[in-house]
Amino acid sequence: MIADVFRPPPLLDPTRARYKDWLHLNVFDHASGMIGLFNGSLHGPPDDDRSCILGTALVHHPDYGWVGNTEVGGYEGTALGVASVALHDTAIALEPDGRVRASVAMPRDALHARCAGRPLAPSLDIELPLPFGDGWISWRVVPALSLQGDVSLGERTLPLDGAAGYHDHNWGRWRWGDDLGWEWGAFAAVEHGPVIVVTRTTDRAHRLLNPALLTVDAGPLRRTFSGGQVEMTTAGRLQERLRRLPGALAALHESRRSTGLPSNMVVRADDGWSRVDLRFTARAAAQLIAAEPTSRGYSFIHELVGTFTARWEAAGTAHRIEGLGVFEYVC
Amino acid sequence: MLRRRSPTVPSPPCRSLGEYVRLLLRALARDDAAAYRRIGEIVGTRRAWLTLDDETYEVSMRDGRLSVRKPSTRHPHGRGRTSRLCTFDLLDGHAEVSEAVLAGALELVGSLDDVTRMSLAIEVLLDASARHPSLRRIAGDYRADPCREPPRAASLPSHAVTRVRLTASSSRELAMLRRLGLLP
Repeated sequence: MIADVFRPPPLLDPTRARYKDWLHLNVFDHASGMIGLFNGSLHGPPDDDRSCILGTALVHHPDYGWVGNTEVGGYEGTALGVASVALHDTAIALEPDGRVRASVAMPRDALHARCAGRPLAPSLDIELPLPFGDGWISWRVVPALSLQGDVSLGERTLPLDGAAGYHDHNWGRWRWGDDLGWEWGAFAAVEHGPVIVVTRTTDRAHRLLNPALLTVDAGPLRRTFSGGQVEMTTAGRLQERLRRLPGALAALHESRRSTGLPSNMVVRADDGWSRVDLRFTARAAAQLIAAEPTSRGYSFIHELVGTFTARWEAAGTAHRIEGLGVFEYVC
Repeated sequence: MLRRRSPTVPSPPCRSLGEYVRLLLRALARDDAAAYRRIGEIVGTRRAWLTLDDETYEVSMRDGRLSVRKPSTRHPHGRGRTSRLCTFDLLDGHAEVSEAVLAGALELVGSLDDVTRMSLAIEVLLDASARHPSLRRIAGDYRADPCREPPRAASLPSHAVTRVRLTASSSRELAMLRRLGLLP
């Protein structure tokens, strides 16, 4: 049985030109401070030559900064399975037993990686289409994975045996460049402690903030907060130089080098029974420029990596946790 | 074992800078006629010399079409100069355009209007490349051209900013660029 698959549009779907679908894997290696983002994404329907497929492998290490790149291909020349996408330098796949695998060979960018993640808890499925821009988005998330494999940065190889992993799969219909955005974060505590995931959709300016959803996965315990139970705020301004990809689109959008990204994010959630108070501090950010393949439009996906501390309280017991996190800010 | 796609495409042929620019313009005319016309309007009656390392070609409008040929003896309206190394730094996102300019690795020379027009023409081409795989394939051929130096591997740390050495001509120029927020 396949646990999850890509969701290509039916032939008669009038919105098929706006098809998007992607598989995402985050790696949090607390031993080294390394945070990895591995992503395979489909932009546009399979029968349109203009559609493109992106493979992204970006790793941030405290000693080296950002390492990795994005490659751009089309359906032709890409090995696409029902739940896998393999380009020349990057591949990501879901296996029938729910495992997530990623493989990267970017010698020009000094990055090699191979990792396999085994789910530690059931997935959280939000398959009901959520309004997004003038389209919709659906989501399936596996917040906690145990990882095997390694990441090599130049000559240095980092084993992933003690690292935490996160996987999600998004799909839907929208146009990059429309009045849409989102804020999303995944925060993995050290020693396979709780994983906290928060998300909300926004408009492009992040003035219209739709209700947020926050989930805490702590071993067998899962708590989900939504709507008015979640308060999410950003503050500060990140001063670090952005790693911007793909390079050709970064050259086109030179003015987006300075985007006023926040340096901190605070999220509080309280349902009267359980509570979360999380503070995230970014240390670096990458900007992935997403182009609409069939009409002119661009969105800017910012991946902020850093550390977090949190107070997490459930069933009358409070825990202080800390770890590594990614906060995504799309505009 | 998850496998990445094996390279099955044949090696591209050796091409000159002029052939690459011709291929780009031909693909643009075929796949995005509006963008091609827009470049034609931007170029107008001007002639620009494009230099990549030791190759130089002239781009101008001839008989309503963009023409690429060896430079004429007449002085051009604008000149663009860069290196293969710099094009990889830009395409791979290791350098920003402004960093390349400040490092002296990318030059656009001419009157303000001529430089602006050259920048606009490049922007139209980059914008079209986001929607037309044919343009991206030509960039791929350029990268893999067997008669040209292959892209160098990155060394760690890979921050391109460490490669950039400012060549602004005076401390006053640097101060002005800093004040305007134009320094990397």
